[in-house]
Amino acid sequence: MTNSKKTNIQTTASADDSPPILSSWKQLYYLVLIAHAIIIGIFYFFSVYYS
Amino acid sequence: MSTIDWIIMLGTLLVIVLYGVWKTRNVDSVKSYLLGDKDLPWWTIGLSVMATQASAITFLSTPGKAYDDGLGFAQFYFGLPVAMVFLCIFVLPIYYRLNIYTAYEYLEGRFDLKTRTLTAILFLVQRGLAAGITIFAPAIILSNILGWDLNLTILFIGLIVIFYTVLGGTKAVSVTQKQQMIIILSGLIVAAIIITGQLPSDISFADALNVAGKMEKLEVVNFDFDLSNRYTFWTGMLGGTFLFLSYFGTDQSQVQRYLSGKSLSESRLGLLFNGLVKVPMQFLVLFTGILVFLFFQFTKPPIHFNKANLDKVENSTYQVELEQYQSDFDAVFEKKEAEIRNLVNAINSENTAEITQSQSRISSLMRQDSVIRANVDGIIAKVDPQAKTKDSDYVFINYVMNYLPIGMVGLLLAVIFSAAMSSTASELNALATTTVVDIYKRSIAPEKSDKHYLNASKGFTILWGAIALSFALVADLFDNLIELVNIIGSLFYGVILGVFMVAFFMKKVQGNTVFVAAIITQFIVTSIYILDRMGYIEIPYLFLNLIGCVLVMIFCLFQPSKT
Repeated sequence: MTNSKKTNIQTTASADDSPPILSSWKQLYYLVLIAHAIIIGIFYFFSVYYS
Repeated sequence: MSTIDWIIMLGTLLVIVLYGVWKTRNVDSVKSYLLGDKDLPWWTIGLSVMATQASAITFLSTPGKAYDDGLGFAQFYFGLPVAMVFLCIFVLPIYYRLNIYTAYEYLEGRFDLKTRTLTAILFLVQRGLAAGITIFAPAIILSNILGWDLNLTILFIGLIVIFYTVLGGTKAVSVTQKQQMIIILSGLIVAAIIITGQLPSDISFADALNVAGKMEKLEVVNFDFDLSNRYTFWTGMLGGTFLFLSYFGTDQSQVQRYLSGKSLSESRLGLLFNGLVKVPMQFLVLFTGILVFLFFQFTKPPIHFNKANLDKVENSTYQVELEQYQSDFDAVFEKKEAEIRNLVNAINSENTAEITQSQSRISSLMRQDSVIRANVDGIIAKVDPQAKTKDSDYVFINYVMNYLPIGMVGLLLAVIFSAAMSSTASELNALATTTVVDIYKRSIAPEKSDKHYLNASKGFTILWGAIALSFALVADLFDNLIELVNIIGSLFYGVILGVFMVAFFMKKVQGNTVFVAAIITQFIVTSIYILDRMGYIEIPYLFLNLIGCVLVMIFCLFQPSKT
């Protein structure tokens, strides 16, 4: 538990760990955002189709 | 409720609680109690994060919202995946590098003790209130529908949660949430399948969707920039992103979930999993409400979904008036059902003129239906001026209790109770952690033993549980329960997020500046909300998150950074 005024910095994990799929976290982030854009696109066409 | 349903409901809840207690039987240090040994894999984190956000209100209120207003509420969650990615890039690495217990610890290192304490207190106030609502909201609906005593229902939910949260701490919360989320998702999917199967045999699923579309229930995305509309693409993407950045990045009930991850990678994957699954899951919950709406186009619904209100009228001098309204309502329903079948035929034969005319006739019948329902609300209010006449929160549970087969009723009630318990457990756990780490240990009783802080953590969990129960026992209903929780969050989240944004991205700003900026902004945000409630201005509450965050940052720009 941290009490000191300046928080004690401890490295418990590397920010550079690779994700289990794709070659970098950046690609995984793009994947999530693209998937989200596709979902919104599907919702939009769903709305238009049934309007 | 049948014996089988009782067995399934109580058995499901009991197994989950016992599993949580058994899995956390070796928790004997404050680190283990508050951070769960940091050994959770990504799927447990992801499900736990989802379960924390998905309270029972989600499963009671949201289908009713879709029943009334269609699928547009899904847009509320559009900012969530963006927020998840932002947090994975900028926030999680900092929290992991600093090895912190609470989000607010970081603010002392970055600014000073008073800023840490202020944000911790803002969190405790808003989350403490929300915890009471999280218990109260499902309790009042379930007690009305099941005929249970309201206070006993509140105590039933609250005491079970307090029991396993006190015993096992954060790990008990996470492992039970994994099981609860599995029950919740499977229960919802099975319910949606059953409702679809209960539509009339001559109405196909495609026909039903066409009908819902023509009755304007299937508009998910609305790109209009309309400030009078609470849920559009823009409120979701702008206001929603800021709300979720604050909720997932600075609300300890969520931060604690992913800080107990095995590694930074596991925590990131857990949040990204939430980003991918949350929007489709909310769509499923809303779509279940649409299916219930379609079901009630072919099966006569009650004239008012809150049976307790109807019972009051039936036992009053307004009984004859109610019977007259019921008779009118039955006649409108029969005409509407026939017209909907006519619409289906017109759609299938692609008769555009007839589709338009039929839509117009259905709209007219829907208006008559609304007028009759409003009149019934009027006599309910005359019989009991204190009664809440808005019945959308009762739509789904009414369907569950009256139309689902034996066994499924117990499962769906287990879903609702699981959701209530999972979100409440996270809240109590986070409230206790913040109280111990950011207030008690930091400013009141430093340098005590690990055992002392472990016992203090358990004690504060009981205390916050008691506060939440007390609030739940005296709380009252709002227009829509899920909105109340979100409104309370929006009042505080923007300011908290603003403080964190300044910490992350405005490196020259110091403690005094951000502290004053936060106080002023909280005052402004609260004033804006009050003015909106009084009708002087019109601001969708989701924008309060954006306003709060941006104002804190702007004030920090204009004030001298050296204080």
